Order: sequence, then C-alpha cells, then structure tokens
Amino acid sequence: MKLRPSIAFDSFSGSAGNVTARKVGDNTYLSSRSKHSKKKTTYQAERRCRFSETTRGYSKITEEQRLGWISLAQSLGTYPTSTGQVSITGHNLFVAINSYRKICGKGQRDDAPDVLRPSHYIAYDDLWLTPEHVVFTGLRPSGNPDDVLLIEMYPASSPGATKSWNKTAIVAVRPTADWGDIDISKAFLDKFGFPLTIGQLVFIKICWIDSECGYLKWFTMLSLTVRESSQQHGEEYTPRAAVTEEVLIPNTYSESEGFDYEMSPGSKMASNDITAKRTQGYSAGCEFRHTGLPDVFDFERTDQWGRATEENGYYIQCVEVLIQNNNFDKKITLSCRGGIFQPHFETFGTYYVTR
Amino acid sequence: MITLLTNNFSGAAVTLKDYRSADICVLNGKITVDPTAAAYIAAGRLELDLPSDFVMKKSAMSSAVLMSNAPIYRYGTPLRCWIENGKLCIEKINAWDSFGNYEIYIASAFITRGYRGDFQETPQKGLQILNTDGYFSFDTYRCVVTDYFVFFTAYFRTFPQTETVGYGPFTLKMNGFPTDVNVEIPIVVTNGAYNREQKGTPLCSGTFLNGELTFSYPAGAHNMGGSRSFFNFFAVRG
Repeated sequence: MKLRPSIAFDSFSGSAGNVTARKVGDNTYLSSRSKHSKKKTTYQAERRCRFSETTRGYSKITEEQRLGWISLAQSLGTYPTSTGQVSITGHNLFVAINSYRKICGKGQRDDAPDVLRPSHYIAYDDLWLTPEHVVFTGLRPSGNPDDVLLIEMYPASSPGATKSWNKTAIVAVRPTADWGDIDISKAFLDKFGFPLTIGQLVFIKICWIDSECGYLKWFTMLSLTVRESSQQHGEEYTPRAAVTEEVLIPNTYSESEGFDYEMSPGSKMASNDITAKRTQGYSAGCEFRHTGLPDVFDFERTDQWGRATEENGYYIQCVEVLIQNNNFDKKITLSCRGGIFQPHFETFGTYYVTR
Repeated sequence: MITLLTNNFSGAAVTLKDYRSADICVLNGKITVDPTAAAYIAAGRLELDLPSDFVMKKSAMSSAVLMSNAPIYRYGTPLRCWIENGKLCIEKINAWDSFGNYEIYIASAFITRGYRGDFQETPQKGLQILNTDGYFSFDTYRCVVTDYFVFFTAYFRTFPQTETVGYGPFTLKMNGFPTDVNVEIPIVVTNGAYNREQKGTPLCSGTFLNGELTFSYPAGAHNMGGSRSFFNFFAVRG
C-alpha cells in the first residue's frame, strides 16, 4: 500500500517498523510492508509458493544472465502509473515472465528471451455468462502454436463495483479452443465455489499468451452483467450435438475406452472416434445407456468403418452406431453389420446420419 | 482436382478429386506408400501438404482404407484420417509393411465441428438392383446424393463368392445411382471366417462408372466375397 509523502519523513530513507521510505527524484514515497492474509486456500498457497520460488530463482542465476534481464527490462522503456512514469526492473521482469511461464506449465527460464512476444487480444462471436454456463464461442485461433488462452475473472459482489480489474483470479489456462468454444463453466465453479447469479457484475480478462515467452501485456477486458441469454446475440444457450464418454452409464457387458461423437449440419452428418469392448455375452456389439443427450438427438444412425484393435488383428467390420434419445429408449448401440466382429474394436470417421 | 506435391514419407505427388465448401470437403484418390523409405520409417503418421488455397485447415475425424500388397488377398484395414494445420494426416499402421508398397484409398468426407442449432433429416436415395443373375442383394444400404457428391454404404445379403461363381469380373447394376460418379473404392470381401494368424481383412478394389460397380477377384483366391461383404464411401460427382 502506498502512502502520501509526509513532511516528517522528508529526506528520510529506510524502514521503521512496517513503514519504508524511499526517495525517487524530488519525491519521497512511504510504503507499508504488505503482509498476506492468514487465509490459506490451495490456490493462494500455490500462488505464493510460485512467487517465492520464482523470486528465489533470480538470486540463483548468473550475473551475466541478470544483466540480460536488466537490459531487456530497460529496453521496455517506461509506463505511466499513479506515481508517474516508471520502468520495470530486471528482477520484476524475470519474476513476471517466469510466473506466467509456470502458470502455462513451463519451467523457469534463466536467460532473458531475445524477443518478447506480448500477449494479445482475443476475437470471439458470443459469450454465455449465465448461472449455468460460462462459454465463449467462435473464438478465432491465434496462429501461434505456442499461444495458450489465459482467462481471469472476478465476480463482483455489488452490481455497482468499479475498479475491480486488480481482483481478477486465473480461472483457466487452455492450450486451444474446442472448435471455437471455450467452456469454463466448471473451471469457474472450481475456482469460486458458487455459480453466478442473474444481474451479477463480472470482470473478465482474457488473452492469448505465448506460453514460451510468458509476457503478459495486452488482454481483452470485459465487464459484463450475468443474464439468461448470450451477451452478443441474446440467444438462449444451446449445447453442441455431442456425445462424450461422461454420459455413458457403465455396465458389465460393454466397456467404452473412448467416445467422441458430434453431429454437424449438411444436412446431418456425424464425425466420431469410438473404442469399445464387449466384456460379456455373445452379441456382436456393445450397448450403453446414457444419462441424457441434447434434444437434437432422437434416433440417429450411422454405418461406418470399424476395425478390431491391433491385438485382434485389425479385422474390418461395418459398425452401425445407433443413438436413441427419445421416449422409447435412451441408449447407444454399436452393432457389427458386416465383416467379422471382434469384441474389442474401434470405429471412426465422418458419415451421413440416416434414419 | 488438387495435387498434393509434398509429404513426409518420400511419396510421389498425389492427385485427388475434390469437392470443397466452407464446412465440408470430399476427397477421392489413391496414395501409394513405400514402407522401405527412410522418411516413412521415421514418420509417426503420414502427412501430405494440402494446397495453400485449401480453405479447410482442420477437420473432424474421417477415414481412409489401407490395402496392402499381401499376396492374393491384399489384407487391409481402415485408418484414421483428418486435416490438421493444412495437412492431410493419415494414421500409420506397420502390420503389412513387409509386403512392400501399399495403397491408401481416400473416399471420404471431411467436416468441421462446433455447430449449435437444429438439423434437417438426411434425404436418402432409393436404389434398385437390376441384376438378374442373383449375385447381389442388399441387406441394408444408405445412399445420399447431393448435387456435388454422393455417399453410399451397403452391406450385402448376397454377394459373389469365389467358391460358387468364380473370379468375375462382376457388375452390380442399379437403378437410381448417379451415372456421373467415377471412383475406385475398396470392397471388404471377407468370407466371415476368423483366422487367428491373419492380420486385416481381404479386400478387392472396384470401380463405379456409369452407375455400375465392376470388380473381380484375384486368381487363386479362396473364400472371397459372400454375405457380410460391404463398402462405404463418399465420391465426388462429375
């Protein structure tokens, strides 16, 4: 916390108790020594640990490496703050870059990078910020394979909150968007422990950051109010027509080792990649009941290439994938219709969905 | 037609027949692979560079079919195939490398994902087998015909079998299938028997031309064809 200069401390430099005075040019600044709160959530502990580790890392690098960081910091020039134009120190730049590298899952960088590739803004089509969903759609790819998405959020307790940008916390770091979607609904709940409420004000900072470089500079800032429909187009949330492993109910006759299925228009096509195993019985296929699918699923059938797994000789089979999600049944059936059935098999590809 | 000039397995340039739109593309063609090439041996997967003007840079999972050079039966299996970073990527399986050069048939559609909304039902085309020789009868078929390409999959109740009708050539004549489709496809011609020592399933190639499918079995083959034979492909029209 910064304190206003005082006549009593004019020309004084040094610390007394929790107060430190320093002189910069003609001004004297007093700072109170900040202490973190006694709260110790896992997230806070991780963050403090990361900060301490990174700070210690600077003391362990060579003098030559330190000079490299100082030189790089000086090349960045100055930037305005409430106390005037300031510049970043080599130490702070080292800590900043290595902190973000660690957040992105990378190790410590001892040498200053030759070039700083700053984070940059995102472009997207729409955003659902509802009590159930926090989902960006139509996110444009960054073009840099090292870029990851860094998302920070702060759900304000008051709808009139301002100046809360420094309260955002990292909610998710994602290597890429899923066909333009970034679904951070679960990550948000994991982070804050409670869902959003209608009318709540949310501060979001989001950017593409180069995970190798770790230099956070530009980011998209969104201050939005939670509502039932999407932020840009006012549309109700519609899930993608997808089936994943999570909705399959385990049973003793069939085992799924991977289930990724999604429908796309044109007029109705499906792309999928499925590995399954019949573990009991004599049927030429597998069957799974599901916990519920998006409403667009009713009675969807594809006939597709399949093959036994490597240990079963790659025998080819024609697999009918039938998805039922109606009043009559809620199940997914994989049946061998041609070729030779082997109980452990894979089926994949893109096909028309027919009735 | 598009030509894929370069790849990561020292293969020759490949020309594929294509239909392209923003959301779907259909590719037809055959790729020859030399499993003794050093680049092939080093590759984790096969990658062919698509032309720079190829709009779809990334696709959902699709498929291709490997047809080996194993004597007579040309055993093979389907392979995963997809578009990634402007490359056509194909899963690599080494099971038949010892038989020399093999072929990969591409007769597939590539689509994107991420759609939210409703769907229209797929209109199907009814077909009628015109053969009077009794060699062919469908168990089930699905045929979708658009202005630019077709999708056709069929598994058969009756299909020519070497033991009963010899080696062909055989022609499946149909009423209703577009006459402007010219494509070579792999046909699964298993006899339904399982052999623990065998890798893959016997395949033969067939050609759709003028609305008819023509194929034959290799001399000396036993138990090829019969019920449970099937094919599954997308093909560009015109």
